[in-house]
Amino acid sequence: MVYQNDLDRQKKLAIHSAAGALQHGNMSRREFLRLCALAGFSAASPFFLGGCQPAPTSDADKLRASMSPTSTSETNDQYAFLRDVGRGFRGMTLHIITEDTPPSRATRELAAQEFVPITGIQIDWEQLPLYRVLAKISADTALHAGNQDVYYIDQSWAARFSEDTISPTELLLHADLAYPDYRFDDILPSLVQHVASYKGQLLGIPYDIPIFIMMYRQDVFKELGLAAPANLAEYLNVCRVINQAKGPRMYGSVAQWQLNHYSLECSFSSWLWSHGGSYFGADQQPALEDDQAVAALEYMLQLGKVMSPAVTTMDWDMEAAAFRAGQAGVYISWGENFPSFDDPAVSRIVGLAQAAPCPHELALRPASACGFDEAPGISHQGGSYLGISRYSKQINAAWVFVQWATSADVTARACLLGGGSSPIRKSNYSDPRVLAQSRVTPGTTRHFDVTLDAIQNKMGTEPHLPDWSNLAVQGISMELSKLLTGQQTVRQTAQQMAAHAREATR
Amino acid sequence: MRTSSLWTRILVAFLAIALIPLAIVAYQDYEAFTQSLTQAAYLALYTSASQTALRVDEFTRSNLNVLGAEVQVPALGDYLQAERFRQNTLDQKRATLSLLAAFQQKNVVFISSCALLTLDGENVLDTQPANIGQDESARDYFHVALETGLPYVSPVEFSAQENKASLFFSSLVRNSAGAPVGVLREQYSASIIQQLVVQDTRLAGSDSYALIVDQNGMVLADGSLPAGVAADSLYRTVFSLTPAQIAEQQRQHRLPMRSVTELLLRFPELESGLRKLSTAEPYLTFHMGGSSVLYAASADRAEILGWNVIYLQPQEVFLAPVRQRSGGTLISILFITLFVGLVAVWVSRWLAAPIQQVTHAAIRLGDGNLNTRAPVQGNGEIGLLGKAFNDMADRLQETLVGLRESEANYRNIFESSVAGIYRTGVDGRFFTVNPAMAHFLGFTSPHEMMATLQNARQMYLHEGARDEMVAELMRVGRIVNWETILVRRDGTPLWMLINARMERNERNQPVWIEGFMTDITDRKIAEDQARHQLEELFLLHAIAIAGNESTTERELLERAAAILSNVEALEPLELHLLPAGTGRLIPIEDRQSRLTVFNALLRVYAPPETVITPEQHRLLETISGQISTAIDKIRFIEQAHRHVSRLNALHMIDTAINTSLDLTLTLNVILDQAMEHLRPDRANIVLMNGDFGQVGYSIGQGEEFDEADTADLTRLSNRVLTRQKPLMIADLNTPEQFGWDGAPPAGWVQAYFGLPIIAKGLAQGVLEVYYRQPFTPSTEWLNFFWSLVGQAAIAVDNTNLFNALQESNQELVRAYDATLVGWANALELRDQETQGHSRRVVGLTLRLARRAGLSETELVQVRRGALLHDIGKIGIPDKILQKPGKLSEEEWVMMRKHPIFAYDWLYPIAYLRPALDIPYSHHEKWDGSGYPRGLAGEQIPLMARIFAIVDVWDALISERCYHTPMRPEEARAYLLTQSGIHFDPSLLPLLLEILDEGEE
Repeated sequence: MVYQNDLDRQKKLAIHSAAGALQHGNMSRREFLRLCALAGFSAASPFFLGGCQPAPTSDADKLRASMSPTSTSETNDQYAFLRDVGRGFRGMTLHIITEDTPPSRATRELAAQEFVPITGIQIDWEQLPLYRVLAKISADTALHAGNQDVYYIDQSWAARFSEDTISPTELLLHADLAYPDYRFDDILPSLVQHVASYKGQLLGIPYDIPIFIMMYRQDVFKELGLAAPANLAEYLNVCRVINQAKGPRMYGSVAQWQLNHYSLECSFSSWLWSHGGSYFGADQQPALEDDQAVAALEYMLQLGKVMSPAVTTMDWDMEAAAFRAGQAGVYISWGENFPSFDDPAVSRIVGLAQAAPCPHELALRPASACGFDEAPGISHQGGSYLGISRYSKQINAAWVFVQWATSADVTARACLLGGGSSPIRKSNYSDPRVLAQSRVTPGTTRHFDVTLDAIQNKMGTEPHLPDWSNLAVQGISMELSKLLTGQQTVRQTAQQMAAHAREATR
Repeated sequence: MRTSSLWTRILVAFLAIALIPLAIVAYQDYEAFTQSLTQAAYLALYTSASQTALRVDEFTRSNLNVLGAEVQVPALGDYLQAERFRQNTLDQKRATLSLLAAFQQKNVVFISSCALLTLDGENVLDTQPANIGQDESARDYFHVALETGLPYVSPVEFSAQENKASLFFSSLVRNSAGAPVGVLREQYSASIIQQLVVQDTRLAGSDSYALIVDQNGMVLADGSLPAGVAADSLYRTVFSLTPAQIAEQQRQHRLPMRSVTELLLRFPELESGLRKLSTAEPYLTFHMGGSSVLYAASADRAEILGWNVIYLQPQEVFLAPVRQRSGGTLISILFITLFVGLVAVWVSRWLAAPIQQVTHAAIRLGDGNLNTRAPVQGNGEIGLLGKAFNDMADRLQETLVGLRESEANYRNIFESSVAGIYRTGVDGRFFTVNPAMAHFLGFTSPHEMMATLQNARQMYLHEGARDEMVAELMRVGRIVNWETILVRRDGTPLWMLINARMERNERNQPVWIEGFMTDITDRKIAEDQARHQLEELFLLHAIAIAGNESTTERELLERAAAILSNVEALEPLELHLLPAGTGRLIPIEDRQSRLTVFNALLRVYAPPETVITPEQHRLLETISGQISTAIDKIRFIEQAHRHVSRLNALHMIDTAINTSLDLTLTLNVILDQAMEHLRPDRANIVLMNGDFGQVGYSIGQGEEFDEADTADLTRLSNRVLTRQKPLMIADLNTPEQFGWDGAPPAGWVQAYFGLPIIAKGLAQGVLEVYYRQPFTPSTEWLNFFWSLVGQAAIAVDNTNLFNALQESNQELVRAYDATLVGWANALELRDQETQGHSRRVVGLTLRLARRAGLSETELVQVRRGALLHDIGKIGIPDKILQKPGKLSEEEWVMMRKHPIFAYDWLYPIAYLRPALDIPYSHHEKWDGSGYPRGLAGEQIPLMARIFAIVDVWDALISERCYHTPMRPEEARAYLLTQSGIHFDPSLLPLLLEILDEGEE
């Protein structure tokens, strides 16, 4: 079913695309005007004129003046909604806290340029490292202070803060505050289920979705006659072949195995799930001592032999930096780093990296056989959602903002301005502006088909346990660290991790 | 034959002139390049080894420092002190074990055990329970720490059972009096050393890594080993130890329990190199076992543990540029040789042909062929034999032709040479230059060059360079391998190698200068790159030193900023180090100004039209990473100090609560700690009046408020009290962010934090701190603030409990005393004769007792005793007690039992037992004639002696059924007669004084 607003949006995208063609001389002015007439825009339309005239004529025009790939496709209904509903909240200040990430920075920039002038709602947006976000939200919810109206909540904290946010379920039914053409069902269902929900209850709106994909050096693969590995045995073999042929200047692979760091647990989870294992069984008891978990640990040790000895010092940033520096042939990790590989300012492998779906799992335990909402899949996800504080005194205004920030137009533009980070809506992945970036360029989106496939078909979600953050680092990562530094055997590691998990669920 | 010989000589001479200088230059270039790369590589390896050694030292030193701080925690000393007498409770054991577990958290991956050892070396408390009870007295880490009193770190030691390699840190623990009571011991897995080493992998370039070897030649870490390998791959020795030496080392736990074959690596070249190592020559080359790869290495020493850190790299890696360059040079030489050879063949043939013809003619003439004419001659050659002048002239003419052709040929060499050849005057005028020279300098021809450059000085980049060279020529006549920089026509610099000589005339005056030039720019660029790499390594080294020596983040950032202020490799970038903890976000408007932030710490602005090169990016990442690591280290140490300091603070408050019932004193201790650790400008504790729910008590420290502002600020305290919730306002100018809807208070306060003191679910008061500037607290700050409030709640609760107890005691005492008065009144109701007697004697007895020097506590017992002095009469039958006449002997016997009745009745009542002296003994007499026990003199309790006088005095002057009252003077006289008989002679005068004084 095509909604009227959707039709409107499609028309504007067509006009936007045509304007680009006109600008680059690929379309005549007459042809352009004819297309505009077909799309229902009169020659006096501010939107249309904005593309042809250098000086914008109003605030609304100003927002639409740019014809760059990141220009807005916001509809008139949406503009009118923000302007009208904003009257009721004018003068309020919304306090928002998120992790300091490129898409968050981009959204904040768009909010300052568009949301604030139209609605009159002021935005006080704090962007901090993830651990400080956790500390601030913890303090705010512990005191029931309501100092922040909108929280950025990592999916691994969902259980912990499930009682501290307003469920959007009722807000979505609030007709007076419904953002036109919001289309909640456009948000990828797997993110709604696994990132923004806890025990079946919707806690917020998905906001970003870093996820594991496979990235490799296509030049090296070609030189050595290798194909993208389709299963775990092939993956290990490919790593060994590269290591043998190119080492030690280039290792077979690289990983985020920094000792006692959350990144190590993330990496392990991918191998655990892809070997048919899980953290918990359906009886809510740890499943970390079973044969699948042991096989995953042994597989990690095999991979360690085709990596730099310094891999135990690398977190996700250093891992990506090593790959950018040409020190590894293939690896499985956060797809968020892929756009930087095409940036000549930081990368030595511009145009040489390629993305591919992760290898097929050896076996996959169904989510129904796991506990605490855990959902196995080789593509580990680290998504987050925006939650409205239960202690906020400005819940309606916050809801207006959250809808705007997660609308199709803003998420697509934030993705591009933010350097190619994965967006949360299905339509984002077919947005012409996003597709235009699917080429070798800084902030590329040419890995998005792989990312979308990972979200829809291969996504793995950690258990939603109130104390998961502590268990992941101080239990799982710590024991993995001892394994990787030769202090204990695979079997001892499995037993110790299970003991920590048992303690955390007691 | 002769023709052939001449041709060969010309050919050889030509090749020699052209190729020998070329070969010399190529060889010198090869040697210089190889030497330069080798020196650079060794220096890089040495710097890397130093870096790793510093990392190991820093790890060791920081752990020793932290351990030194940990043993200052009083709870450890208290626990070990009490453990000597086995007096620790289960709670104390749990609390101290929690403390040890907290110590273990500083490196939870590698610390396997944290324990307390007694002075006997017995392990009495350990985070690894299996170790408790074991005797560790024989271990170095125990007795060295005990003997020196200083923190100690052991060499790598191996457990007997599992060959588990460990490092032990230990330090002496003292009790509160400063006496040693035991040792704190922390056990690190030795795999931490491997982890330290892999952090420096590739520090000196591709394939470079570190080995750590201890004094026994045992390999403790190998930077080439992948993650996850078992410890079996390490802990083998490169030294050829004898079986006896191995056994001794194993006995000392210094080598694992493996066979000799498993322990010896047999790397003779490495062993030899290690044994010859010296500070002056810390370099070595060796093959690893039977490998064909030749490694170059440099070593430095980790000072604290005395380990050798060897940083190595295959020679072929850093000499790869030499191979590449040598191949290119060889191909060039081959081409030049081929070319020169072809030219030489052609030229020599061309030169030799006329002479050959003449010679043939001469030979033919000599052979008698008189018609023979040399073709060059054009005439017959008979003149060779007979016609001297014409023939000679012809031959001379022919020779001249040959010479002209020869000159042209040499000109050709001059024109074709790949080296630049020139001739100038001493004053710089050009006489000639060859095309190669013109080409070097960017001209199309020598003619263009000489037309453009009027003087040879203009060729040189630096003014005066030519004059310096000419002066040298004037001095020694020639220069060899003189390196200088010329400037091309387009302004680009050009490194040249010059060999030149000065020609002088017969009067020894300089005539001209001529020389050869070779382009050595490529070689110079390679040398510059090597120098840049060295500069980078020195830079990283300097930052590492700054990181190790700095004690505060500020100091570190200032030192780092100073180091970064003049780094040639980072020009023209502008660098800014962010102050600690203020990682400001990148403003959107800066997106276009090419701002890059490294590790949220280093802000780098690239000017327009420039980019950060990959080398600069890598260097900046390394620098910022290194600074970030150093900051983490400093923060960790500072956090450890703060943690210990705050633990001490809470311990002091605990001590105050446990040792004092003075609430004000305890609250002042809490305020002291709040001022010291929360750093406010003022701290207050406000307590509520329990009856009325209002502020009843307030103490504070720090800067005083203006009187006019006090009431205004009280609103904040009242709000916390009434809502019983925290009120935290980081900036009073924007209080709405913190849920405060009132107007900002007046005065100097800019930030306010108040927490309710809640005991048993009720707000008892507020602990509040005020700041002169807006203040955003950290989580750590908040935790400590909450801890202080918790302590205050305990103190207030204790005091409330104590006051309530005291109040109920006093109530009880009042109730008892009222009961006693009731008993006395009941007795008097029964005995009408003594009505009012008890009330009267109580007052007078108290006055006499006070005069006799009894304390206030004793007076309480005196009063009770006096009230109950005849309580035993309750046991006397009414017929005796109320008998109007004299008593019979039997009745007296019964009556005299009333003190015994009083004793039997009151003794079981512990509260009245101290007052029993009067009821039991007030009928005893000084001379021993009294009853019931017949005590005499000072055997009679003092209270009873005092009361006896007053009792008799009151009986004498009161009306009784058996006598009329005496007048006071008669009664006095009677008392005096009984002094020393009935009464204590020392007390009687005191009563008389009181009677003289009259009633109070």
